Amino acid sequence: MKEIVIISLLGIVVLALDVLKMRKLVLPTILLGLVGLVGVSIADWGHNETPFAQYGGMLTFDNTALAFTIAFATIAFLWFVLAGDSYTSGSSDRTDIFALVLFSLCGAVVLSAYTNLVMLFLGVEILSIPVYVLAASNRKNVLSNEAGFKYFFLGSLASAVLLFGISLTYGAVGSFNLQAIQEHLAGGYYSPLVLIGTALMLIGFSFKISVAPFHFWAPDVYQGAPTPVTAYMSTIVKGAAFAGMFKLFGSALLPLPEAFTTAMALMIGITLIASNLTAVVQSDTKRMLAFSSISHAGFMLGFVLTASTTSPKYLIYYTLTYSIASLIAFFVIQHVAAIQNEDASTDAFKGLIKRSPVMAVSMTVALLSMAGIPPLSGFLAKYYVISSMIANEHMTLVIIMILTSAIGAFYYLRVIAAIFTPIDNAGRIMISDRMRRSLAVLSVLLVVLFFAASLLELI
Amino acid sequence: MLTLILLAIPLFAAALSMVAGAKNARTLALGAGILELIVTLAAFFVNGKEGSEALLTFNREWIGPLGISYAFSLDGISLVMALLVALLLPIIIYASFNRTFKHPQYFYGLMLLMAASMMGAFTTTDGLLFYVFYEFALIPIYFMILHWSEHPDKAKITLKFFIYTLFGSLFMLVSLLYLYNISGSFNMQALYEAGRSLSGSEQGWVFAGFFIAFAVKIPVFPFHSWQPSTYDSAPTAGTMLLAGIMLKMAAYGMVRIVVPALPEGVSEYGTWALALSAISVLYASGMAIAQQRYKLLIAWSSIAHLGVLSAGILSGNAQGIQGGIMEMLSHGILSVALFFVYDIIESRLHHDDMRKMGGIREVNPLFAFLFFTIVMGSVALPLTSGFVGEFLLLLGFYQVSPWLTAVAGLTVVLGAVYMLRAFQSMMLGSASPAMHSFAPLNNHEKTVLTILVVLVIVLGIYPDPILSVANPSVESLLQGLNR
Repeated sequence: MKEIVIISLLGIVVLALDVLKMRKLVLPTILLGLVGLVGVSIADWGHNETPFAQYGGMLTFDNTALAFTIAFATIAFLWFVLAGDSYTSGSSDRTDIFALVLFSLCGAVVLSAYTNLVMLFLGVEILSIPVYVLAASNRKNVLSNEAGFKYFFLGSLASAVLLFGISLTYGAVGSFNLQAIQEHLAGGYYSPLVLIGTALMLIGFSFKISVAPFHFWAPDVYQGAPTPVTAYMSTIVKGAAFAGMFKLFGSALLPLPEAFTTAMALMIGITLIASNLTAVVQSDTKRMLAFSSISHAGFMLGFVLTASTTSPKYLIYYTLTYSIASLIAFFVIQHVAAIQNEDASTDAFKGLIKRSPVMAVSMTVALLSMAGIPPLSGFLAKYYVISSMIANEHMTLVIIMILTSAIGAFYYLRVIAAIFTPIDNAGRIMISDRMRRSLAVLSVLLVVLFFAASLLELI
Repeated sequence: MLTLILLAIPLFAAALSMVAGAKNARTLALGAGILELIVTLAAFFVNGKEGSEALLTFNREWIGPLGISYAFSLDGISLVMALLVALLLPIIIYASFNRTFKHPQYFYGLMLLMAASMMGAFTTTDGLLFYVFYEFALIPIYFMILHWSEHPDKAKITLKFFIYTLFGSLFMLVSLLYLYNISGSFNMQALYEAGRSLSGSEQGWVFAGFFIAFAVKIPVFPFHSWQPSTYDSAPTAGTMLLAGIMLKMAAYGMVRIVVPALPEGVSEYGTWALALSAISVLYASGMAIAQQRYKLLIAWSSIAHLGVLSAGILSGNAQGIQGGIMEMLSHGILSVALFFVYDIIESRLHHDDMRKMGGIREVNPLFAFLFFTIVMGSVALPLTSGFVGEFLLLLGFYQVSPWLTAVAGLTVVLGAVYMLRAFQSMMLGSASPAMHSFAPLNNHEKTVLTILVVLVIVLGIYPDPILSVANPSVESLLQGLNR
């Protein structure tokens, strides 16, 4: 509970600072608050191990929830550091955007700790509504407006579907509480109401995490939204939706009827094939990364599919490593595109190694990590998915994952090849010292997380 | 302990090289290479002595609950492979001194990084770590070709190379995970036991995964199509690393994992692999005969030789594996020598079209003589290192399939055809006016070629130190397999 109070207060304080004309303090306050959030989460570690018990059965900050919270707070911290440069310091737009991100982050924390379907729905809404606004925050840009609209309409449709599913489940079980639902289903009997409810919840989540066949909104929204917002969507929003989904399908709804595992397996297969094949033909890197993000959602859905035997810590690891790589990639794209009339095509990256070695190297590291090359943590993340798929004997999916990983390497390497292609008259791209340092730290993190993977076993 | 030092030297030197700057990069790299060689020789020296265990092995938990550990061990086989790396690394670095590279600090840094990862792959006893090193070796060579190649199509070629090998090794990952799923640990011994507990057909599938990975890297027909263009476009030092050492990781993987872990998979389903290897030999020899450019000829001949290598190892008997280990070392030395000859010629003539050469012996008899010795090693003439390895390989292969051996044995005959023809058209005959300006070998080139030639002959006459170090480990590897 403390976690949610902190994060909500932080958002309000930030808005107050803006009113009080102390805009210079906004970013330091946020960073300090997020450090505090991590600190409180660590202090709570191990104290709340009884599941389904706290706050009237609404929220439980057990270790998994705390680990998710820490991961989201860390990613948010990194996002704020990188996004600090993206908005004019001292403008009130900046404060608004930052406050919206904080409120959305609050939803992410709720989603990782909910133990009640009402909180699940609230979490999804708190997470999404600020992002609808953020997607359209580049008010004078048509594409950004389109992205906001699209995201809003499809997102609210998904929320409605999710809510309908929740209400049907409630109708059958008579309770919103996850524990009650679990006990109700423990016998293995799924009444028609629960069946339909589960199906609808699955569809609702599939929209949020953007897996096929509910992914069509994602490329347009990712491409149209301002790049920092895209970075936020592909990291925390996606990760939080997965946290919520994992808890629902990994504990409350067990044992899942076979129809659902089959459906999920099919969705993973279609997602991986469709997104990777489409990514190959993209010339715009931002759009390519949108498809790559869908592909990673396919991988992450593998954890949900095997949730009954897989620990959520591997999902957290995947979220964290993918998010770090994603942050690097999107912010590098933003800075590269900014000086070339918003051209984010692969050609715009030509000669980047000369024009900005730090961005070039960190982008390379990020892309290689996404491709799953050791010794970068993206490899271990993929390894955990494939490992759990093999343990659950989804061999067809494993083969698809391998084939699509090779395809993935193809489009990531195309950008890397462009980065290292020399060009004439290469002007240097100037970035701030803070940006340079943060990119370096993030790249190193991708290596460190690989070697320090045993930390994960603490969860 | 020594294993860690072997890993740390090139890693540390790579980091130092990238920081220290362009000026002393190559001296630093050479120093690191020589140091690596000295430590490896020290490991050879202590091997078999009492209490050497603690020096030669290292084991620490990495991800405990998942059974993954930082485990390294220098047994006989790994020692020879470590020698392969440590011997060739300083030679390759020194051989590259006749060229100047832009950004030498990164060039040599990447080279050392690659050496470190190959050293890791050859010495680790943890399956996942093997995969990590195996895969990571791809990154430095990818950038070496991408940044230092002068080939116009380098972006395309490197992409093909990278995707091909990544695709292959992912199959190995699945096979490894399949075994791990039974054993619960990536320790080699645990993987062996897991593999042997599988039924024949399951072993066949796991074997298929490993074989695809290794066949792409070695390469075996029909997975070879990345190789000639990659060899051709890479800077010579990169080609030497690729052909001399990197491909051996795949052959080593067969020795270390496939043969001991999947005996039934190999014996029941290995026939396909053996047949492919035999086809590989024939096809690549034919292609080598058809080449007009020297570098491509060497590239194809490499496929032919390695076809014999994979066939011999997959016969799964002691001769085959001993021969494989010997051949890996010998082929490493020979391919570095052959590509160095390319470098010498290219630096003088700026092309390697054999039709436009001829009569170099008249102008430069010393070069022709040294080259001839190398050619003899390459066609596996007795008393050269090539003979020992290929003889044992074919011996091992013969016990499994006499007919296919007859096909693969053609490598010796066909090898003589293309190598001697190449030698003839380049070196013999009367020198055309263009060849008159063929400058004599300078001291640097003389030194490198002499060292290589001496190694080829010494290992051919006296291969015993290598074989006797490897033998006990080969036997313990095959223990419990009914062969």
